[in-house]
Amino acid sequence: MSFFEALFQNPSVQWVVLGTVGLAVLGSSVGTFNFLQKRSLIGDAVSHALLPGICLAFILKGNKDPLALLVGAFISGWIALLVIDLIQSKSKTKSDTAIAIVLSGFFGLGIVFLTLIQSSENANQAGLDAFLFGNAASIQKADLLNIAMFGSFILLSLFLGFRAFKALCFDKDFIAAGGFRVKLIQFWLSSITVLTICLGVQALGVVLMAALLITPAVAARAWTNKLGNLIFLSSGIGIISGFVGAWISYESPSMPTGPWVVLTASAIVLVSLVFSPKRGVVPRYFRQKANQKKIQSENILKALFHLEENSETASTGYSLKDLLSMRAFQRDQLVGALKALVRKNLLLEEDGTYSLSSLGRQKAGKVVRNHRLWELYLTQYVGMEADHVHEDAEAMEHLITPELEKELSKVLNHPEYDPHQRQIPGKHD
Amino acid sequence: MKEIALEAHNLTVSYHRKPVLWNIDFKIPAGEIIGIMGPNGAGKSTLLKSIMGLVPASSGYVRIFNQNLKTQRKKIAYVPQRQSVDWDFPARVIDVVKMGRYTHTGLFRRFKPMDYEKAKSALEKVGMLAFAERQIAQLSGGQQQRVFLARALAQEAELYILDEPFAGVDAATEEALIKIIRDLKSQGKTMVVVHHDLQTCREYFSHLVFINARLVASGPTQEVFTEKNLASTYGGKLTLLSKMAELVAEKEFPVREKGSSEFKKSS
Amino acid sequence: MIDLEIILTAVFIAWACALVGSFLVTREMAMVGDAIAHAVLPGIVLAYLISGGRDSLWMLTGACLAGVFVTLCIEWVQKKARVQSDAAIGISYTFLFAIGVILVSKYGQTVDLDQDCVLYGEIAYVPLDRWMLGGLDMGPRQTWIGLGLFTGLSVLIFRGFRALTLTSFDPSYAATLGISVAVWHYALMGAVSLTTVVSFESVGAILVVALVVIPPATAYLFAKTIKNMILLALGFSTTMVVSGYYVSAWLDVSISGSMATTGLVQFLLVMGLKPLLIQSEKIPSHGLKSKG
Repeated sequence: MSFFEALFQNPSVQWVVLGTVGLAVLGSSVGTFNFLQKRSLIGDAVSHALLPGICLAFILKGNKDPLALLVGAFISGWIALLVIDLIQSKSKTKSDTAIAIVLSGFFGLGIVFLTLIQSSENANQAGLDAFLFGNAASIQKADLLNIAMFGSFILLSLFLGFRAFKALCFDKDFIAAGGFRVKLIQFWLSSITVLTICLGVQALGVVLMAALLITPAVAARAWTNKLGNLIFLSSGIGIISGFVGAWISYESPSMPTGPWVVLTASAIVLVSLVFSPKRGVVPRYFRQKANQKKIQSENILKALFHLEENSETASTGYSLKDLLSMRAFQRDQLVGALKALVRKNLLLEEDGTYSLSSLGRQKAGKVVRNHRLWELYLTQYVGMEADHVHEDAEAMEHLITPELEKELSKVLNHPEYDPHQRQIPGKHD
Repeated sequence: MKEIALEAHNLTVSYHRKPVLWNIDFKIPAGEIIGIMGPNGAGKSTLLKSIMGLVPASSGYVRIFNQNLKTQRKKIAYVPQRQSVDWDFPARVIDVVKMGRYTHTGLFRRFKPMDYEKAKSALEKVGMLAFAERQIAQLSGGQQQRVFLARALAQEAELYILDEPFAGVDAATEEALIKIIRDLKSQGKTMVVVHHDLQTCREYFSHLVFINARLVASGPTQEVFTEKNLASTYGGKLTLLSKMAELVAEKEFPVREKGSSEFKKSS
Repeated sequence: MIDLEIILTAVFIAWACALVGSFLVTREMAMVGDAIAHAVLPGIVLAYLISGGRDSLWMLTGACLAGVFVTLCIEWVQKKARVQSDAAIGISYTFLFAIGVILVSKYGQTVDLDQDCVLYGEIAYVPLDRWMLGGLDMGPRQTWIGLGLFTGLSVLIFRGFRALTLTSFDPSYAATLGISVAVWHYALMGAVSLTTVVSFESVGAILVVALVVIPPATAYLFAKTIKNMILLALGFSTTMVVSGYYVSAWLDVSISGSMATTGLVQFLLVMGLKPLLIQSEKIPSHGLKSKG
């Protein structure tokens, strides 16, 4: 049976998929707030620290009652949070160290309990170590009910407490007026975080549940700045990751689900960090390339403008050699750029010589105007010597927007000449 | 003209791609106490970091005694802001001061008795010898500042660069620090000090450098400490300059064109 | 005899961990240590698969590369993609760990590595793997490896002591003296990776973190100098390991788990008792202390 057939026919597959996806939504939406609070790694520590509570609950209860394990996990997670805070407030230990101590110490304790259970030969113990790496295939109807029940509670809390949590992440001072409220909101957020981890840890495993709190939020952050969108996007990424993870582990049953969920989310984060238009590495590279191209073509226009400016008589056109005498262009780049400019009707070409079209002259005039205005600004307002302003203007001329140009002109009282007594073109237009 | 201890030439420095210093250009004579003045966020610390090679310059250069920083490291000692380190670090006062001797001993050579002596005498000069064995976590702000100065003294440099040494220290420490600075000057050392108290700056410094994103003025105190320079240093930012800085960062534009300096005269 | 062999191995490994851990803790990089400990997993499996054995130098280098790779990942995510540091650590190491777990599930049989080993390590089996030299039983192989690692790291830390201390305390001042902060950073990261890989077999991925972080953190609570801190950390790691071993023997539970637990308990005890211990030697001018 293929995965998609099973998805519609086999209820246990449905449980697994629903459970994984549900957990992914919870983890990624709650995780977004932790990420914004820069508390991501605390989620990691809590996730490791659930283990002793789970085992202890099992020892006390004698079986794997999901609710009992959940309660045990929850208490143990909260104790871990408190110990982290305690270590930081009672000693000079830094937060990263406190987190690492609790993470490894509690986890070690969990392993101790786990081996204690294993040596006690309790028949019910099989599958407890699923908590370590996760085993989504073990999601039963009862687990799903738990996820649905507590999950709706968590989502409802997020929905109702949205503004409070938002204030907690961005504007702590605003609510700090009543110090008690900050503590209460923080307590609430921590509680639903611990609860989320508790719900997810059996299906996804300790480390990989921690990933679910962090990775989708980072990926979403690359695309949007708005908190509402961030949560939806992050949940969306969580859903995709959960679904793909469940699918793959259905196809090859020896594979644990958690790692595939995380791997999918990691792939999404990588794509986001590399390609997102605003923050991505590749778009940034292309933006810089485009900047370079703009600089080059404007420099060519400007060089022709200067050639025209310097010559006594109106010339029909200028050769490559003339252009190269104006500026250290790279010869082959120059040829390509000239062709592009001709195509854009900014230059006219005749027998291998080039001249500005009227559109090109207008554009070149603007660049020269920007250059000279900026030079004047630097000498008059920034207080620089006239012989030191050229290099700066040489870069800024390409960047000055029409609005800035207007402002400059106004501040400088619509000047006619630059600090080197050359005329500033284009005042009339 | 006196020897030039420090020269910044057309120095433009960006922080997270945003230019914070534009074309800074000044020369500092050797053997003087020079104050670098400017409001908060004017780029004073960035200027020092750029001088020390900690932040790369987008354009321009810095010369120390007319040479590159790399060849002059032994001649220059840096006193960072004391908030820049974690004072909980497990170390005694003497351990921190001994770090200043690494310019002479290197990272691997053993300390000679002379190196210990120099570290101790540096501590004595700042009045902290009694605290040599004290853990640095137990020092007051003023004492931390003295320890940092002692570390620089142990370097036996020619040029000292101090980042806000008087910020948040008690009056006694400020007095002690300025006395040491004057002593060093009388030994022919050059002292460059970032400071922002206008009340005391005329008393402390023989030369001043006023900056606020750009150089406002530099020169002997009596010449540059004028109403006009104060007004342009402290009278708020130049809006257009800040707007351009924002734009450079936002558009990820280069602050300098490649090879733009080759054809200087053509615009 | 078996007890002694196991304890000795654990002590050597714990000492090695304490050496590198002391610098990680003072640099506030404990969680980077955690990240490296998780990230060597795929390195180990891949190196097993490529080289086909666990004895080779291959495995060691492969896994070390994975450890250094995760620090590069973290740096790239932080600097180039401009993500805050805690999240950068989180996404980098969970990614590599996920790959590791997948590889273990798929090839665990072939490379003789299972999920239990990843978690618990196999320190109980240390005495089974002997080092035979010309027919002479020299003792467990792991013990010698642990001793070798500790010796090697001691040399590194001793030689690099000034640079590591200075670049930890005040990196920008170090740079003004012409010391390359990056070189020493990566030397330390390489050492952490090496330590993690070697310890991994004995104590498992996650409990390596306990050995790296907890004893130095305990020493940090009241060490006066970094030298002092390292020596104290060696002491605390010895007590942690020895008491951990006997607790585990007494309760018949996982040795490495029990060691991590005694480490935590020891830390909390020292932290709680510190005010009582320090009271007597309190310095009179304490009023001068100010928060920097």
